[in-house]
Amino acid sequence: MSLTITNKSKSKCNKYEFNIYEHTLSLADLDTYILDVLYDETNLNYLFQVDKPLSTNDRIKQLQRFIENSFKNKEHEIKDVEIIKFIDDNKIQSYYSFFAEALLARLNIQFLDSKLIIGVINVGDNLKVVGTGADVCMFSDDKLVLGEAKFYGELYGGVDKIIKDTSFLSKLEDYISKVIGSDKEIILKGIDGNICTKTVEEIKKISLILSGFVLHTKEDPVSNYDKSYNLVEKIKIKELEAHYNVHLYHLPIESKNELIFKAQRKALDLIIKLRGL
Amino acid sequence: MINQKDREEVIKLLDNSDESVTLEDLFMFDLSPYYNEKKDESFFSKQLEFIQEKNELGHNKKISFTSEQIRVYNGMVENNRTIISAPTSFGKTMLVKEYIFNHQPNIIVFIVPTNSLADELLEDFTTLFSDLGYTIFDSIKKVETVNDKSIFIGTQEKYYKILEYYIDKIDLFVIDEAYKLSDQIKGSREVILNRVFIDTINISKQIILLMPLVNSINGLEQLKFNILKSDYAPVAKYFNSIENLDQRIKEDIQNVEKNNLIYFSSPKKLEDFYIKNLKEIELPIEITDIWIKRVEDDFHPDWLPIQALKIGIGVHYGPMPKFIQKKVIDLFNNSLIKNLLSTSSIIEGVNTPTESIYIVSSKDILGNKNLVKYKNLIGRAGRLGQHKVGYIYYDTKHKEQFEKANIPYEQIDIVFVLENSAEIIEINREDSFDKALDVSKDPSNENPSIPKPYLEHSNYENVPQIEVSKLLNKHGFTVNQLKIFLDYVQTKPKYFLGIIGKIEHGIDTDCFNIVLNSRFATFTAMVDELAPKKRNIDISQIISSLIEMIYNIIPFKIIPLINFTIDINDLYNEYNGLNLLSDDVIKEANKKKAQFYSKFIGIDNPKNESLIIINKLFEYGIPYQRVKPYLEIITEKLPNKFSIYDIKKIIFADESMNDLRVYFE
Repeated sequence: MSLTITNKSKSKCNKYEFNIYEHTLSLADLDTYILDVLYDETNLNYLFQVDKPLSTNDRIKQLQRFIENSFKNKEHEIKDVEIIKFIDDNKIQSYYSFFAEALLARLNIQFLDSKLIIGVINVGDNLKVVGTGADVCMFSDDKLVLGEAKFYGELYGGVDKIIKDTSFLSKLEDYISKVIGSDKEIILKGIDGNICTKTVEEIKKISLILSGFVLHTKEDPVSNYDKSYNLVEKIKIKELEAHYNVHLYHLPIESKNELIFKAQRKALDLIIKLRGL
Repeated sequence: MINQKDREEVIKLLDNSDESVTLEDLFMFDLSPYYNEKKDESFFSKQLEFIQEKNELGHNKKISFTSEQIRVYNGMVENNRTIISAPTSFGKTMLVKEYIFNHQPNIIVFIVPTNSLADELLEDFTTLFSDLGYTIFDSIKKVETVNDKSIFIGTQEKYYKILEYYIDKIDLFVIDEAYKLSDQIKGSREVILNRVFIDTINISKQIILLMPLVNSINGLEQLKFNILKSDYAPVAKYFNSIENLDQRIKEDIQNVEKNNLIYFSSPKKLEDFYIKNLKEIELPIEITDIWIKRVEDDFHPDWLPIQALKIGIGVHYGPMPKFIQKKVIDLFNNSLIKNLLSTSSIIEGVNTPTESIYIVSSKDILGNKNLVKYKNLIGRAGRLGQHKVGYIYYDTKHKEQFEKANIPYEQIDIVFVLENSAEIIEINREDSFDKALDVSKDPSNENPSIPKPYLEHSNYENVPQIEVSKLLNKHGFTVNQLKIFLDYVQTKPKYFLGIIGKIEHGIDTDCFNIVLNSRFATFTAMVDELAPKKRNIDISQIISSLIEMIYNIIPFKIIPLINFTIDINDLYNEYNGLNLLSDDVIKEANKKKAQFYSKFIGIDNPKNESLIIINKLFEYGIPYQRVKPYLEIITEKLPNKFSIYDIKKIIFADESMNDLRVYFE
């Protein structure tokens, strides 16, 4: 998928610039793209264990994260109607939202920095303040990404939801103020288990990227999206330094339920194939 | 900082159901055993789920390795000689079990410090590894070489008896609590452990030494061990000094929600405390009347551990038949009794997780020499899966000593005996003899533990030193003990009892004589005979001293001394044509042995397979009179390599042996 920058916008406070990207895929192709990019062997393995070699068992275990728990180890018996029933019966708004989080992590790797890995951060003196409470926390040698991801069945405010997500924003501000105010070392632990420590000065030099993602069922009229896009101009984060960035992904899809179905079906089919059933 | 101190703080918060502790916190501090408590629908949670599944143990799918355990495990796999130094709750034995499951070495020897721990592992390993084709054993019925897929689990003494049957190389040799190799040589236990280590090291393909967390390990440099250390423990501890500890124990012991281990430095202190503070308490207990009745019949109804158990309090100390110890531990581990009074028998004895430890008397665990012992004891407080946090209580008046004992591991160093030349002599290490002897020729060297000069001035000089050395090793005696023995022999003793008194100090001769006397056939008769001679001693303590004499002192101290005396006399005769000891002494020694075997094993001159089996059951605490009717059938059905669990299997498969099942309940 190629992205083009079609617009540039400035925040109301004139402090930040925003880039808006667009893709040119059809909605059907978009679903395929999402699943291909996420389930690609190397890509998915990278999310779970970075550069460790992938065994067939590992691959099955990774794909099993995307299917219902009750489908595990009887993948070949699962009929489409069972998947659909599970999806229809689930009334929780955040159902399958981990999928958007995984996709956000993947997109960040694709478009921000291919060396980013998921992990946690320990800042400040407080023992249990680890990371930031963000849905996705990623870092590389020169970038630190804190991301919030939503997976909605409708537009539901779009990026506005992220902008207005006070807990997310306050966590970000809290994080920034802690980094600035701390004189202790900052500890980063990647999902691969590796730990590195950085001084406050070192961490300040790293580009902080606030990354938001809304994956949602498309909405008509399309002009509704503009309202949502324009709201980014209201973003105001305390003490956001000049080299910090904000990346908001706002991705309409044909249908949340349909994508979940496809995600589970594809994961099941891949597992069945791997098992040679 | 990601260190154990901070990790414990997070565990304490988690234990307090602090909701601010997140899955991210647990990941940061490597607390994967607690992931399930904080799992959610996030992708991060799914990532950790994957890691957990990937790290699942082969031999137990319910448990996953933590990243620290993986690091140590991989180090262990990559090296032929490894020392694993980690805290009690790290899971050191679990690492070994996983290694066996994954690599299936053919011939395995696993040395543990006590019979109780051996029994626990024998049961566990039998369940885990029998299906993989392993024979798990600690005894051999009929002499044969050990060259099949097998796991020996037992004490150094048991292994040393069968060491010569290992013709092929040992594929995996493990010593648990291997810090004991650094203990000062005091008697046969240390001698044999060091012998076992020295004699096996070069015939083993892979060696793993397990020990508590210490800072430095010295004395093994030449043997090129790879040391893997970790301070990781998935449980936290609170230390509390209490003004009136006795009163606090009395109160807490009645709180049925809690699991308490109350520690004493000796059986006597334990019994005094019980009589003074706990005798009148009554707590719930689920135990069959048949079991209680059997113990009362075999031993004595006035014995304190039985009286305590009847009111819901467990007692665990050394002078106790093993099946009773096992029962008490089973009840405690399954929360069927909540309180356990114990001495150091619990420290290396068995895996006994508890929430709280109250240290009433601490003489044997405090002080620099006992640091590892102390750490081993407090390591019982808190256990993964049961108690995230353990509490250690001690009397305020001992606060200063406890604060000293609570030094961080960075300050604990151990030095293996192998570096200490004087002690090397004590363990009769032949390859060091010459070196040491050269030094000893210097007249200014007055080291009394050098053997050859001593022999040169004794009437023993014609006997080759190597033969003396072999004999000492065989029976687990030190050169210093040999010196005392030979000095005493020169006084032409008339009685074997005199030799006992010289070598094994503090033997109660009244108790010894009554135990061996066939006139007192039952336990009650022995108690009745001894009690009037000990008017100032509590009846339960008299019973305990008899049990200790029967189950510990005679079989493990006196019989080896008798055998040593007879063998050394024969050896002397072989090279000098004369007896070292008078016929009367030798006759008396033989008579004592025969009396013991006759009364407790039921055989005057035991030399057959049945003896090994009846010995095994005696060691477990079952009187021979109970076993005798079934001995033939058990002997016939038992495989050649066996453990107590093979005997148990036979007993439970045969209705006619119903009478013996109570000992295994």
